[in-house]
Amino acid sequence: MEFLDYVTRNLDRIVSELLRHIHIIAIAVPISIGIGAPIGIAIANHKNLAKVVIYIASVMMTIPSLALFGVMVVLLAPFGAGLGIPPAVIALVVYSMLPIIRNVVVAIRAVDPEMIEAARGMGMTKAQVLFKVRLPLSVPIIMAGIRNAAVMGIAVTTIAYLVGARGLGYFIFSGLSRARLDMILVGAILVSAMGIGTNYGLMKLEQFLTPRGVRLERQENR
Amino acid sequence: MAIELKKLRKVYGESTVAVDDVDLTFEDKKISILIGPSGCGKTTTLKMINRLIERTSGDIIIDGRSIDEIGVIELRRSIGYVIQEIGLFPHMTVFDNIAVVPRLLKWPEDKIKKRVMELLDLMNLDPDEHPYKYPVQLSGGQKQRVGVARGLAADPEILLMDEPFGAIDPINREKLQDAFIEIQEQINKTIVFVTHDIREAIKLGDNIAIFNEGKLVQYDETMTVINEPADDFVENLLGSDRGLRSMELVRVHDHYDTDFFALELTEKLTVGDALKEIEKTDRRYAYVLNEKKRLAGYVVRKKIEKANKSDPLKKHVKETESIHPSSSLLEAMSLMMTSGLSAVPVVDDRGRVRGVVRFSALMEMFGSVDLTGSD
Ligand SMILES: Nc1ncnc2c1ncn2[C@@H]1O[C@H](COP(=O)(O)OP(=O)(O)OP(=O)(O)O)[C@@H](O)[C@H]1O
Ligand SMILES: [Mg+2]
Repeated sequence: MEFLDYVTRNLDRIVSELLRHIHIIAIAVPISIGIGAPIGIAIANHKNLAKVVIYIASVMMTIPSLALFGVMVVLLAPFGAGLGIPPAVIALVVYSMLPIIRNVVVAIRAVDPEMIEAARGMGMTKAQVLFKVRLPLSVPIIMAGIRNAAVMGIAVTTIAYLVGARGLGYFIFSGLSRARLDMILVGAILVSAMGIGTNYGLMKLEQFLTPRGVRLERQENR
Repeated sequence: MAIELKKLRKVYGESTVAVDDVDLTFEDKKISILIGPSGCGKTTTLKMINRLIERTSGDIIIDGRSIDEIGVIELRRSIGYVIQEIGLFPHMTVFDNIAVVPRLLKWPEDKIKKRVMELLDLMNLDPDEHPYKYPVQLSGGQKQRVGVARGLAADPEILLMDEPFGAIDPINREKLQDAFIEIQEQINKTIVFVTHDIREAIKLGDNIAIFNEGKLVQYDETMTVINEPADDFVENLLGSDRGLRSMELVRVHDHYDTDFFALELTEKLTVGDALKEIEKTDRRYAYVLNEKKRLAGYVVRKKIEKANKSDPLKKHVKETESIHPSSSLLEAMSLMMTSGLSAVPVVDDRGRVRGVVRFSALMEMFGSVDLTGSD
C-alpha cells in the first residue's frame, strides 16, 4: 500500500511536524487564556461594555485566516517576525478571544445573584467573591470555551504552514501541490485525530477541575 | 446588641420609596420579626443593616455606634446572615460552607473544626455523616439547618434572617421553627427575622414589626400585636380566627405565672401544719412537692379544712396533670377543659415546677377569643 509505505518511510518527519503543531498550540492557548480570561472577568458585570467587547471579538473571528496571515506577515516583517511561529500564535490568540471571553462572561453571569449576595453579606471582599465563589462555579463553562478555542486552533495552525510555521499543514499543502493523496491523507488523519484527542482530553480535564459538589449537582439535574 | 433604626429611609431611583422613615429598636437577645405584604420593604430594611443596600438617609446604630463607623467588611463578618437555601455554596462541602466566615477571619483550623462540629451538633446534623456532604446531597430542611449554622459560625451577636424557612414544606418548616426556638434559648442572639407568614411571626417572634408600603404600621410585643392590632391592616394580617391560632402558636414557656404556692411534703407534715401555712396566704389550693422538690400533686384548702387536723397531709394530696414549657397555650387550654382544672402547673424536663398557667390569665391574654370558632 502506497499510504503505509509513505508513513513508514517518513516517520521522522511525521513525528516532528506533529510535535511542531502541538508546540504552536501549547504556546497559543495559555496566552489566549491569559488575555481572554481577565478581559472576560473585568467586563462580565458591565453589560454594555461586555456587548461591545464580545462584538469586536466576534468580528475578529470572521476574518478569513489567509487574510489575517497576510496582514500579519506585512505588519510583523519590520520586527523580523513575519514568518514562522509568531504569526501563527498571534492568529490563534485572535481567534480564541471570542470563545474564551464569551464563555467567561456567560459563566460568571450564570452564578445566582442571591448566592453572590450571600457571599458579600458574609463579608467576602470582591476578590474573595471572585476566587472563592464565581470562578469555581464557572469552571465547566469556561473550560468549554477553552476547549472550543483549542480545537479551532488545531485547524488554524494547519493553515499557518503557509506563513512558514510548519506543522501538519505541510502534508496537506505539499500533498495538494504535488497531487499526492497519501500525503494529504496523513495530514488529514493526524489533524482530525488531534482535534478529537484534544477535545476528549480537555473534557476529562474539565471534569477533573469541576468542583465535586457542582458535578454532583449536574448529575442530579440530568 | 440592640439595633436602632433612626428615621431610616431608602429611595430607589427617583421615587420608589421602599422604606419610609422607619424608627424602631430591635431589642438585645430578642427575636424581632419583620412582616408585611410583598414589596413592603422588609428585605430592604434588613439589608441596610449589613449594608448590602446603602440607605438613602437616617441612621442605624448598633451598640451605640453608627454602622458607618465600622468598615463594611468587618461589619458583615460580625453579623450572621441567613437567606433561603439557595445561598449555600454548591461547590463547598457542608463543613466548608459553615467554615466560610471563620476562615475569612483567619481562625486557626483546629478552632474552626471544633466550632463546625459544635454547630452541627446544635443543628441536629450528624457530625460523622454530614460535614463532608455537598448541599445537593441534603434535603431542603437539612440545607436550611446548614444555612443557620453558617450564619452562626463566627458566633456573631446579631443574626439577620430573610425568609430562611420560606422554601420548606409546611411540615418541615414547623420542625425547623421548633428547633430554632430551642436553639435561640441556648444562644440568645439578637435576631431580625423576615417572614411573610403570620403563623411563623407569632410563633417565633418576641416582637413583631408590621410594614406596609415602606411604613412601619405597628411594632410591639407579639401578644400586644395580637390583642391590640393598631389598625384594620394589622387585623386583616392576623386573620379572623387569630385567637385560636395564636393560642396554638404561643408557648407556655413565655407566658406562665411564677406566682404560685407550694408546700414541701414530709412524712410528719399534718393537715394542721399545712393549713397554717396556707392560711398565711389567700390561696385556695397549694401544690405539694416531694423531698426531691418534684411535683407530687395538690391540696384544696376547702377540702382539708374539713379534714382531721392531725391527719398526715399525704393522705389528701391529689394528683394533677402538668404541662411542659415548650407546649402551646392551646394544649394548656385543652388540658384545663378535659381535666376540669382552672390552672395547670408547668413542669420542666427535670421535674421541677416552674410556674402555673391559669385559665383566667388565658382569658385575659386572648380577650374575646371565640373558642368554638371554626378554622
Ligand atoms: N434594586 C432595586 N431597585 C429598584 N427598586 C427596588 C429594588 N429592590 C427593591 N425595590 C423595590 O422596593 C420595594 C421594597 O422591596 P423589598 O425587596 O424590600 O420588599 P420585601 O418586603 O422584601 O418583599 P418580598 O416579600 O416580596 O420579599 C419594592 O417596591 C421593590 O420593587
Ligand atoms: Mg424580601
